[in-house]
Amino acid sequence: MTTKEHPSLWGFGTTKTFKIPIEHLDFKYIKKCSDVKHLEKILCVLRSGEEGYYPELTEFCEKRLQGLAPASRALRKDKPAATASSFTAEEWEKIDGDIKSWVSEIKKEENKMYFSETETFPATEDNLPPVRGSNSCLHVGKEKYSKSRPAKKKIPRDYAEWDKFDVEKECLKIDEDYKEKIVVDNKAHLSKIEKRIDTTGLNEKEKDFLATREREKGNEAFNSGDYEEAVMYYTRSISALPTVAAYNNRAQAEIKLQNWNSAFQDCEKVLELEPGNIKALLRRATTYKHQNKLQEAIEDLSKVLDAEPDNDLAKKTLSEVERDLKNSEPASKTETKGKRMVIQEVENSEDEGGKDDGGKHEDGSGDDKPAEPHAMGNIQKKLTGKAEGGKRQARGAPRRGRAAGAGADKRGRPRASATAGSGAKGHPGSGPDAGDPPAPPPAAPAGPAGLKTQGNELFKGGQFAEAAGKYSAAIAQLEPGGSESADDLSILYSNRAACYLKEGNCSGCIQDCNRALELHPFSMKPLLRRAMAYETLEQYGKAYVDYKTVLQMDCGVQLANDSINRITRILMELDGPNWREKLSPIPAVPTSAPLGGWRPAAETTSNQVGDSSSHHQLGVTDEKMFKALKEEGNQCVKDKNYKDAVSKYSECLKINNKECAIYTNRALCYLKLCQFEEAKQDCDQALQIDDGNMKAYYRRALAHKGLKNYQKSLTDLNKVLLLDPNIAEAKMELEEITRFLNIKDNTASFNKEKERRKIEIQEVNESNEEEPERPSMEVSAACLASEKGDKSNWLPEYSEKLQISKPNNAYEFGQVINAINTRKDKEACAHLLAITAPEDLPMLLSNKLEGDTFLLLIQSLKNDLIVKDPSLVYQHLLYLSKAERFKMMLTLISKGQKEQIEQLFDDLSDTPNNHFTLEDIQALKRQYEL
Amino acid sequence: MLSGAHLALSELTKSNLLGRLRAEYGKREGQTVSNVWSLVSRLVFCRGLGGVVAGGEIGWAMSAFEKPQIIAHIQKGLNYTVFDCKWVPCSAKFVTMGNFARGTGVIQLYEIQHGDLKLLREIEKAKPIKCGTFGAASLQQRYLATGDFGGNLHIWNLEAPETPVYSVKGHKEIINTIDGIGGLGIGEGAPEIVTGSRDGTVKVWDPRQKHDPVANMEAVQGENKRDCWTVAFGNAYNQEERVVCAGYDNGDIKLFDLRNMSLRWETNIKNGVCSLEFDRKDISMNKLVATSLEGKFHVFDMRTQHPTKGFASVSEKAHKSTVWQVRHLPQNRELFLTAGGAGSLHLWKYEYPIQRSKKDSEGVEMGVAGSVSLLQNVTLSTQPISSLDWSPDKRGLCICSSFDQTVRVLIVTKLHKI
Repeated sequence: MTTKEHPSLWGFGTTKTFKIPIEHLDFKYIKKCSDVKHLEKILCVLRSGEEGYYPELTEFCEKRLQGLAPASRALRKDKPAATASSFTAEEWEKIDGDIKSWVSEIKKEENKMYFSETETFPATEDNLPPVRGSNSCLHVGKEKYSKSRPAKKKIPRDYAEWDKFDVEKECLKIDEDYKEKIVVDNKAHLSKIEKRIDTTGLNEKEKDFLATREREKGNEAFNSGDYEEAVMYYTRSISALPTVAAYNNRAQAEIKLQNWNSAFQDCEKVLELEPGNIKALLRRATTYKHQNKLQEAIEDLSKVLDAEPDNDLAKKTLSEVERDLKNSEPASKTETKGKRMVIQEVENSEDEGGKDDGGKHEDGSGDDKPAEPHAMGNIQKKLTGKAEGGKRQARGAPRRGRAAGAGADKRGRPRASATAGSGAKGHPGSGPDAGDPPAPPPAAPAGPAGLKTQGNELFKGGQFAEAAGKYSAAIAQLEPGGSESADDLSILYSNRAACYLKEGNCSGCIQDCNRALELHPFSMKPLLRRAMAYETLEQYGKAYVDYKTVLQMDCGVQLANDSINRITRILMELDGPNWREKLSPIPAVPTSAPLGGWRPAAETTSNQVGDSSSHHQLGVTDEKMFKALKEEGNQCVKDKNYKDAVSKYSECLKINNKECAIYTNRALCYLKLCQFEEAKQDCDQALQIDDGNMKAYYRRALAHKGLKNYQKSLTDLNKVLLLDPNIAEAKMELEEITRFLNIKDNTASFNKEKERRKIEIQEVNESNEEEPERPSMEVSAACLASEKGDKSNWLPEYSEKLQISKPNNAYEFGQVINAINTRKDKEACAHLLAITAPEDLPMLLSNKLEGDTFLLLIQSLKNDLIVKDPSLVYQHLLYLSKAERFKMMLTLISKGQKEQIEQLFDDLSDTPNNHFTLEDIQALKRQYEL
Repeated sequence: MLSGAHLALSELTKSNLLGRLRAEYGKREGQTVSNVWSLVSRLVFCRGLGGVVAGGEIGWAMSAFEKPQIIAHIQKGLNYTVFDCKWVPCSAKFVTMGNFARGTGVIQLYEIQHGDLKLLREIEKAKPIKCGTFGAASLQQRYLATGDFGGNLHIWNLEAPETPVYSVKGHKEIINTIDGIGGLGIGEGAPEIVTGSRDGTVKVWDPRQKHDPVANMEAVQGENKRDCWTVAFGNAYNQEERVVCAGYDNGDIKLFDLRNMSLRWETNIKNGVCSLEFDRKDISMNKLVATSLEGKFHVFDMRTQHPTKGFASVSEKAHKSTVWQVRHLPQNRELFLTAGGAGSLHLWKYEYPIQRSKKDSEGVEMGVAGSVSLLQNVTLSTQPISSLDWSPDKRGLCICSSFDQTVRVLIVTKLHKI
């Protein structure tokens, strides 16, 4: 700016620049002015000094502007760089010290690097992509910039080259370019980012460096709201070097993407690496919350609050969860809840039998209702188990121990949605349940009931001592009542026992359990709690007896099963092979006992059902009958006696024809009995009662399939998947049905043949899936075999229920093996082995070789493959012995399994072959430590 | 006389200055201008030496320490015109590159030792060295690639600098700018170097291939050749993808896709493009900052490309004069520092909009630009700051060189809190 050499052209009225009236350069005006632009101009004029210097006015104007628009550009001033003197001594020391320490550190690093540098050209060059080829000419099209081949002269094209010009090709290229310009895929990069980083040949430091950088990229992506990309980079970071931070961050990103399951798994990983990690706990709580496992969420949150009582986020989430919990409570009282429970039991027991794959699915199907935290937990565990496949188990004992501990812990907490939850699952566990009593008798005084509720609340909140106090008070009130309130008292004692157990007061717990059992012999929870207390006190014998008793009542109690296994081992170690003799006799449980005693939840259920379906006129006897019949029916299903089960269920329905679960259960039996029409009708009935019942849909789909109504089956499966897209079985069925439909279309001309064939295939499928040992299988298999002759081109596709294609990597292989494993389908496994190259086996198994997989492989080699191709068997065995965890495996397998392997080897040596000699086999046998 | 010359120079602004500088360098290998420069700045520098070198006794009490502070930690006067400075990765060392008064080129290697700079090595070469990069070097080797006034691309082993490891006469005229990728673990794929020159071409080199570039982007014959002032690699998130962005004296910005060998996008920001940088080279293009001769810079959101509208951008008038350089913080891509013609440094933060993309009237995705906010600004010198480099290893450590023949080590505090 020039100085005021020239008189202002605008006269006195305005300033030269901006033409601002002179009057505006005034304190009063500036004070009032709220026009930022105008103020900026005034400031500019004032600063320029063209109207004279007014330092105070300038400062005032600045302040005013600062107040109005702190980000105003006019306020930016040239500032000198900060120096040591602009900080307090302390701050400066910190800054300076930081730099100094970094300098010395990096120098050390550098020296190390310098000395460790051995080869002049590091091997990293090996895996570099090739030099950008001479074919890479820049194609700028119509733009000003032309391409020129770098290998040639820079003149774009000479005449000779034009001769070679392929118009079509160039046009195509331009078209492509054009297309690319038009359809810009702005998300394309996501799929193209490598998920893994090749870290071969890197030392820990470099890996750490890489991992950190990838994590930073992830953080940046996260901060910009690009969560998918963030997940990608965290995954890369983890692939370079798994760190707590990366897992934790990925969990957070997954939460943002609402991938609760992945987030949950990441949290688990963090907690495995670093138990008690606050962030991971918080995040796991969030995943629990969204998966409606409110109880677990509360548990995690209270852990966080124990460590950091002021954690606001935890507090907030906790209050939210508790609110959700309250909201879900009424829901749990509705009839759906009750119905589901029952099914659960049937399925659970089937599951434990380890036979039925369908059961697993059914279990999952209960999972759509948010009011069912427990079932969710169940499916969750299963899904993760499945998804993670062998990995989880491979981690072995410590992990399992932890999980069991956690499980016990979970069970230890009362389910808020009361009642239903834990009772339903057949894990009455150790938590006191609000619904423990078979619906509080009206006669019961309000005081004790209220106290008990309070106690339950306190227990939920983790205040065990206070809860115990409440229960004690309730007991004190009820005590005089004597036998009338025996049931209630029993429950109160049982609940107090749970509190004591939590507190670690085992003897108190045992006493209470004893009292509870006196009042109510053979009730499950006190027994379980006493068992746990005994176990804690290392009185393993007594614990064993209690667990056994529990198992007599319900063999599906996972906790008891686990504990029995554990204790058996301990007892064997302690007392040697004759440990059983030292045990006190296990009391025989009267058959009627469980009904009254340990399934109060079921009772509540039917009460509730009654309420909702105008069923409350039902006499008590009827109700009991109903339950008893249902129990028997379930038992029959467990025993695979489907006919009897059907009759039991039918009787049930005579008493109460509004019970959805009975229909679905009976449908299952009909399915097993191949009475598809009846199964379908039952499902229809069930759906009439509850049109969101996934099990009914699924079973009807199966029934439709059996009836060859593939289209309808398809519709039903779609409905199932609509309700819960995560049900693998339904997906599998869906695929299969779709295939059927396609083939039906294709082979429409072979109508006659088709029909017959279909039925048989159907049966094979059914039997494969549901019950491999059914006799009809042989028949159908025989049919299949005979048919293979004429229509071998498409039959094999059917013969394996599983679609087995050649696995390309360890992951695919693991998936197939898992699927086979759940079915125990040795044929499929044999097929898999037949199509898998033996030398790939170690790669495919990677570190996932496990007892059951191993056994399965051996069995299928022994049963199926040895006859067909002994050399393949030999090859497989050879390469199996080179798999990663093979040695470990050998130490873990049992005698019986060893014998099987031995047999296989014997068979192998018996079959003459020129691909291998007896010496080879002997050598291999040594590998197998035989 | 002294202050007069000084004034005259600092008043030389904008295109005038840049244009002259570049023109002079091109024709007479920079002697005239750089001589004036070195003379003037040396005098200026000597005058202010007492106060400045010791870390500055400037009595400037700042209270608001919530903001990041830019500290001039160490300053060192040089006896040559410095054009570029770069940290040696994994060390407390850096190199400065420039032009001796006698018309030769120089590379100096400095190390931070006890709060001061120690000259470890000085290498003199025939031609003034304009720019350099470690971007294509492995962490073990740390070879420096340089471009000089004669249009030569060299790669030096600083331990044995007598003969270059790689040498090619890449351009007919001065190499204004250079960038590297694939080294230092940054960017997937092969190590490559891109150079931009006054002869209007942008060439990509692979150190494994002698003599010829692996890609060459140049104007069609007959068209005006524009002076390429800046180049930058980006989008190298996997082995195949890679782009080069080039900025020209007429304000053109061109984005070349090296995978398809196509021009992916171009725009014009009206004024000469002095510096371009992607916020990260090794991720899918996220942001690109372009600084201009007229004191503005533009931030493009490179995630969402609209078929016709291209990329969304936000611009900010940052400095009163040319913005010579922009450099993103290696540890946080949303922060970047711009270096201005009047010796000022501005630290910026980019803030994303709530939605980074939206659908236009035809339902095609288009990007939405965010906003930039100034976190801190300082004025270090009266002369333009010609180059700027963040330490890849230490957050907040930075070097800059300016035309007053000074190299400065800066510390920016509180960066981790943003």
